[in-house]
Amino acid sequence: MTATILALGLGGAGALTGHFLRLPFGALLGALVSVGAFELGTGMELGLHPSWQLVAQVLIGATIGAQLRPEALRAFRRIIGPGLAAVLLTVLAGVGLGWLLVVLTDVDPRTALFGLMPGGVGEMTAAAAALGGEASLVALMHLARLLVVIAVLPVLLRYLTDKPGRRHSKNDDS
Amino acid sequence: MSFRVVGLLASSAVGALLLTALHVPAGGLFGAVLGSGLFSWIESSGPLPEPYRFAGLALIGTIAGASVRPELGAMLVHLALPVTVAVALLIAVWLSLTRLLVRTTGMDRPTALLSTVPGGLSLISAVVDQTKADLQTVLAVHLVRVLIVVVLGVPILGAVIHLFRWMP
Repeated sequence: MTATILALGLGGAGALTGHFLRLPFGALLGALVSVGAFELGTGMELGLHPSWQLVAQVLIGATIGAQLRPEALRAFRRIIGPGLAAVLLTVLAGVGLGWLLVVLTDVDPRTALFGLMPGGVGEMTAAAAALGGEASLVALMHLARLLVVIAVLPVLLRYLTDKPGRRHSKNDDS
Repeated sequence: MSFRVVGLLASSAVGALLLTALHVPAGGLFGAVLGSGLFSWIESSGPLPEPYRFAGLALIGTIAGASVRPELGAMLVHLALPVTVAVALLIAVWLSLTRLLVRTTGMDRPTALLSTVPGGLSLISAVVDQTKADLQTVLAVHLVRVLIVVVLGVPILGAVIHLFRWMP
């Protein structure tokens, strides 16, 4: 009971700190660092009862499910073929790279696959935890990916919008 | 707490408990998305208030932090190069898919780029206002991606991993 209260207290404090410091996914990163640093520093294990994992999954799952409305998907219908191809290729690329990581290193398959699967940080960390993978490593891999995207995205957007603005048609080969 | 929030959380919990009881791999998350998704589709309940998402992320961060082992540092060093290469390849895939969408749908470049970015939805939402990208299309593509990953990818991968553990 004491360990649970301590873990939740540390996690909450870390989450608030991460949020106010405006870190990417500050709540998740802050809680992870806070609890992880305490465990490593004291040698004390603060494992939470599995029911808390279910609570986290309910909250994170509800965040995604709440976005599922007919009007939200209407925009996708217009581009359904290429859109679905792009989504599936993104997912397959993540799975393929994860599997390559398993083959080339000694990392656990659950950790590698969910660490590179292009889903949300919270969702993939929750999935890895549920399946017995290294949840902390999965979270850090996703955060590394996000940091690269945050660094690269503004440059790419500026490059694309500075080019002569024209829409490509299907027959445009240039 | 409003009816829609109670409904979302209750449907999420029912879905999570049901699929966990049925021993579906990562059934908690999958079931939560299905349950709350069904409720949202029928009721058009709107997004879950931010404090609940914050609580979910804080809790999963706490669980991940509680699983930290002393070997994590060595694992990070060992994986630094392979993960860097993997992320670079993901970026290359992203740019290729941007080109694919522009060529096949006539979509403008900023919309195509933001639709295929392998990043968090919250990150994209923060950036899209500063561009001329079509917000509805960007959000729709990302929602489909997350749904495919959680509803198909996670259970299938979980089942495959479980199967391989029992192979000689």
